[in-house]
This record gives sequence, C-alpha cells and structure tokens, in this order.
Amino acid sequence: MSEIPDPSDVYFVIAAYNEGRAIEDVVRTCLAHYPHVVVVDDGSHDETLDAAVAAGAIGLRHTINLGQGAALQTGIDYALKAGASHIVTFDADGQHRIEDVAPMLEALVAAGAEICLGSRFLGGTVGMTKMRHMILKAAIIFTWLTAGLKLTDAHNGLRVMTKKAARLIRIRQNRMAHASEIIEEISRHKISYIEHPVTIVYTDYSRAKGQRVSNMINIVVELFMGRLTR
Amino acid sequence: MIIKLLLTLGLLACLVYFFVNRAQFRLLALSVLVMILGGIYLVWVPEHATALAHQMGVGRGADLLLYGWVIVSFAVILMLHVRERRILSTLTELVRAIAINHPTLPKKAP
Repeated sequence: MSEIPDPSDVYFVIAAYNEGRAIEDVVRTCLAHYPHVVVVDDGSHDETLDAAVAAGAIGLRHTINLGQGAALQTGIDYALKAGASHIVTFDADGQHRIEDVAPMLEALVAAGAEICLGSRFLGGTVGMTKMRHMILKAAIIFTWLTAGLKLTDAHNGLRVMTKKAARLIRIRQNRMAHASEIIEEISRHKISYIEHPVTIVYTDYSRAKGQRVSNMINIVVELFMGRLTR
Repeated sequence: MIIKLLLTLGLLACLVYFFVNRAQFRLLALSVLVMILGGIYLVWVPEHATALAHQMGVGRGADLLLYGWVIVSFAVILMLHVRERRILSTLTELVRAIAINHPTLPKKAP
C-alpha cells in the first residue's frame, strides 16, 4: 500500500447530532473533493439527516441518541462494508478544513503508517480561547499517562486511517471519551501512527459545541467505568 | 410496637414478592430468603441483633444493620451499573445494525 488512494476509495465519516444548520455546507465541501461521505445522524431532533442526504451524503440514522463515539463506529462499519480503503473522520460543525485531508493521506502513505491524527498544535488554530487551550493540553497529558502515547493533540476529530486500522479500532465508549479510547486502541494494537498539522477554525458555532470542563470529568469517569466493565 | 408491625409487613411483602418471582432470583435466592427471614426474626428479637453486634465490635444491633445495609446498597448499585452498561452495549449494537441496514442514499448517484 504505497500509492496514494483514489478519492473514490476514501470514505468520510461524519457523526452529527442536531447539526442541521452546519451539516449541508460540510457535506458539500467534502463531496467537492471525495465522492463518498457517510453522515451518521445520532438521533437528532432536527433535519440533520435530510439536510445531509440533500447535500449528497449517504445518511445513516441512529433511532436514539447514543453519542459521538457510537456514531463514528457505525459510520466506520458502514464504510468498511462499502469497500473503503481509507476512512476519514471529520467533524460535523465545520471546524476542519478539507484542504488538510489530501496532505494527511499523502503523509500516511509516505510514512507507511496505518493512521494519521490531525494535530492543531502542530498546525494552526483560528480563534481558540485560552480556556480551551488549557483543557486540550490537559487532555494530552491524560492521554500520555493512560495510553502511553505522547501526542501533540489528543482530541482532534480529523483522522485518516487505513481499513486495517479501522478494523482493529473498536470504539466502545459511546460518548465523548471515544477520542481517548481511539488513542488507547492505537496503543493496544500497536497501530503505526503519525501526526500531521491541521488547522482548526473555531467559530461561535463550533465553540458552543466543543469540549467543556464538565465534559472532561465525564470523560475520565466514562473511561474508568469502561475499564471496570470491559 | 407499631414499627415492628410495619417492618414485619414490609418484609412479608418482600417475602411474597420473592416467592412470586423466585425463578428470577436463581443464585441469589437463598441469600434473599435468609435476609428476609433473618430480618423478621431480628425485628421481634432485637436483643439478638445487639448481641451479634457486640460480638463484632459494634455498639448497637441497629448500627450493625445500618452498616450491613450500606455495604449491600453499594453492591447493588454497582451491579445495576454494570448491568446498565451491558444493556447499553446491546442497544448500541441493535441501533447500529438498523442504521447500517437502512441507509438513506442521496437522490442523484454520487
């Protein structure tokens, strides 16, 4: 696998919960470069699914809200079934730039790695608050301690992975703890990974939807309880 | 005296519930039965509860029961939590299977 994959073999997986306002633009932007976009509507109460499908995405619907982690896993399962060679996870709120994906694919192939994680701290950020900066840095330390991987950005939704990596990683944490879990899975299966700089565009819309301090506590509790019951 | 009657009635209600649903209790059956019958016994002969407490280094029978109650409650909460996660995991698989098997495809082929 040393060639850059054809865009038609790349599947975008977008988990969306009540993103009716933003999802259409995000889907259209992705479709302009890659033909397969899978949007998993995680039991939204708005027109997320219709908007995504109208924009040209394949729409999957969770009949009840299960959380972003569960939605990503559903989309990844679908993409693998559909024959994807590479899977891109992309956030629904428009904070990622499509321009970052092609260089990530190239870097992944060039390095011969199985997963490429976007890093906003290697790249740039537009409009990040101080508080968010601190939360994200704390998350990096947490990941380092629990998974043993020293990353520059532990909670970036932009990832490019091969189907091999996608098959190995199982997201069992339905809620927000999935970002840490993916990194733990990388560590557990010894999946070769690289980081690549990406630019995150913070808008008022995406800021309102991002991680909060209260969420951090939930994530730690989720991961801990997950270990107890696994 | 009224409290003894109330407690006995409550425990008898548990006993009735237990016998009606005994098939579901399985392994726990014997311990539940012992707890209910032991409870009724200690309600009417509280001196024995106190004697037992003294042997274990606790001042009063009522305190011993309270401590026991706390331990049992925590165990039950933990059990329920584990079960809830298991149910959630089954539910996730179910919802996922429905989602994957019923995709909404865009009108114009991509």
